[in-house]
Amino acid sequence: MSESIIPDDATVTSNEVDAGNMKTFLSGDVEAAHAVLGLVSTTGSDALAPIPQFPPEIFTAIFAFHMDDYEESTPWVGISHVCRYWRDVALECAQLWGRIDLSYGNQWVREMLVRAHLTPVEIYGEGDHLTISIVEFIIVHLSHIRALRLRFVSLPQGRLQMLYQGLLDSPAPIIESLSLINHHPSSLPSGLPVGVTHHAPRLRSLLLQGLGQIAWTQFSLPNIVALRIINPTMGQTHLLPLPFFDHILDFLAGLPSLESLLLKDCFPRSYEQTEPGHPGRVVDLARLQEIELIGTVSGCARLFEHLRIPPSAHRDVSCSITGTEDENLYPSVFSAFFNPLGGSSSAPLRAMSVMNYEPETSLYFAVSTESEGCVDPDWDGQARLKLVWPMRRGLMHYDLLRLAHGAIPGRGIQKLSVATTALIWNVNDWLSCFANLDGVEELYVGYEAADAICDALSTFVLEEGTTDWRTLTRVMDIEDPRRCFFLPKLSRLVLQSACEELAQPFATAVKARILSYFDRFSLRAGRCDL
Amino acid sequence: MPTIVSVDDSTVPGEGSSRLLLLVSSDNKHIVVEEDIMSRSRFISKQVEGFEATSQRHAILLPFSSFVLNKVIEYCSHYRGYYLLEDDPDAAPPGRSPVREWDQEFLDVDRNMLLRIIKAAHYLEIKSLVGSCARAIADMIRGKTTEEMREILGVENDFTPEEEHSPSSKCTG
Repeated sequence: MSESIIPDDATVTSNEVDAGNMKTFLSGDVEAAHAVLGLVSTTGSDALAPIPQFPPEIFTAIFAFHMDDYEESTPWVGISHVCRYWRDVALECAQLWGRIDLSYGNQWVREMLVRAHLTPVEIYGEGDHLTISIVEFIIVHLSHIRALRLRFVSLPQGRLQMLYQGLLDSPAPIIESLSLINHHPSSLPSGLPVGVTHHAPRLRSLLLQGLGQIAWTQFSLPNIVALRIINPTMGQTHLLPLPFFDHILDFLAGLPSLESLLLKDCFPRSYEQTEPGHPGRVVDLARLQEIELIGTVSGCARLFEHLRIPPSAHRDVSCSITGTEDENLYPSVFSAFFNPLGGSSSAPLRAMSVMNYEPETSLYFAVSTESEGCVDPDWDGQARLKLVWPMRRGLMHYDLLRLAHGAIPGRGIQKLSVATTALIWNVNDWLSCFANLDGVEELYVGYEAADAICDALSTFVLEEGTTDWRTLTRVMDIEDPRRCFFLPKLSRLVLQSACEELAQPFATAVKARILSYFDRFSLRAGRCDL
Repeated sequence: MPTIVSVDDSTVPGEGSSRLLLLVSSDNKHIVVEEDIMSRSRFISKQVEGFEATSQRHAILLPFSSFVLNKVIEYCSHYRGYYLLEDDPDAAPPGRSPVREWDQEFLDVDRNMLLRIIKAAHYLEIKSLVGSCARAIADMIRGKTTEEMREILGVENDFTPEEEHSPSSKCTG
């Protein structure tokens, strides 16, 4: 009555199941089986329709990838022109309409928001042409907006305010990324869209730029991962009220998930400007991986002092000096940046830039921990540390250099670039700033610093009429020219002098001697190699 | 819907304790495969649940050829025991994920085969395979003009000249 339905040519998969056992195992009603198989056999091979008639779900999947990879702004155009069926599917494919560039125009913003149905959408682009009705439309659809990244250059303040108010009042249950960038300083709104954070439990990334000072105490961002708050340029910051340190620290203490933080000109310029707070207070940012602070030296330093950051985090600092003459002038201020044990931060400094508005008397200092590549005298991306500092303000070069040296993890400095536009009155003192940088293999000295060295050496050479290196080294109070720089591993020295008259005789006199010490020696007068 | 053939409910000693399924392709080939391998298919899983309710074992007839079916089984065998987010019915829809290298090689087939695989994967409700095929097809048409898309995928232009060139089409801007 019953027999196996497994035919002799049954295929066994690579899992090595025994076909004989299967025949025994899978036995059943052969009549039913044959009846069914007979039906199947009449259908021939694949019952596959040509691609135009694939189920919409397949097209949806294809279109979704097409949308993801498409670099042009209107991926649906080509797709919807292929054939009627594709067009019909495209019109119903919500994913295809989920990435809305405001440059499409207001009509398309509205059309795409509708076509996207309730699927998550991303709206981005320049919002200057948003009409009141479109702003309202966007607010109505906040419930299925996943990302809102808007940039404004000249949007009337009333509309900006309306958008803020909408973000303030409307729940945004799936929004993950909110970015509002206002390039029009006169359009600063009187309120802030802080309310959205109360209705946006999935918000992970928040960027607010050019929107005035933040009402720190109103924020609630327990799930935020990336936070960037950028205020107008430093020159305008003084027009805005600055928060208290304690408010900022309270705010930061409520961000347990924070991994990336950028604050620009939105915290006090100096510690003394705010309430005393609690000097020993420490906010633990255990998950932070990168932090960039842009503000005054004192403000950045004090904020760092109150933060505990994982050692693996990257610290980038950009400071500006806009305060009084006596502000931020002491090494103790900088210790919060440079000394890993200073303040509460144990994270190494990755990059630092200190700028001032008197570049005619400045020190440029660059350190690279890269093992490959060459020292770049033009201060491009090779530099890891760059200081621009007014000499007359009392902080000596070597104080900074020593502090910086302490900040470099593992004392791994291999290339060092130093230039200054300030006069070097005492060459030996100046050179002593390199003390103990014994890992440095390349040194670049430029501008007036090089001139000063050349001046000291070449003048002596000319006056004594000798090229005896020992005589020269006596001037420098050293035996080995490498020790002159306290850089025993130094193999390459570049002195770039702007004064050819000084550099030329120096080179003629001592080049051969120096070559015996340095594997590679380069002396430049102006921009010409000698 | 597939046609199901009832068979008895014995078990076979084999690799692990996985039971065996009989899959019958549209060209009347019979393929025995361990249930575990095909568990990635929501369709198969639902069928098996139905079997258990009736205490019977079944052969499952599928509307595509053994050539395609074997490719699908090869895919499922490769990822046997692997967790793929796309196939987790309880997981949130995955975002854009990197292309799996093995999938790229696996789907290095001609256009017709690729289309058959995605159709079969859709039928069997194997989302990860549908996604990989969809990505491969999307790659084929990326940067192509409408005419090139038609040519690549063998689609006939059924627009009237008026429809095709009409600027009033709402979806084409």
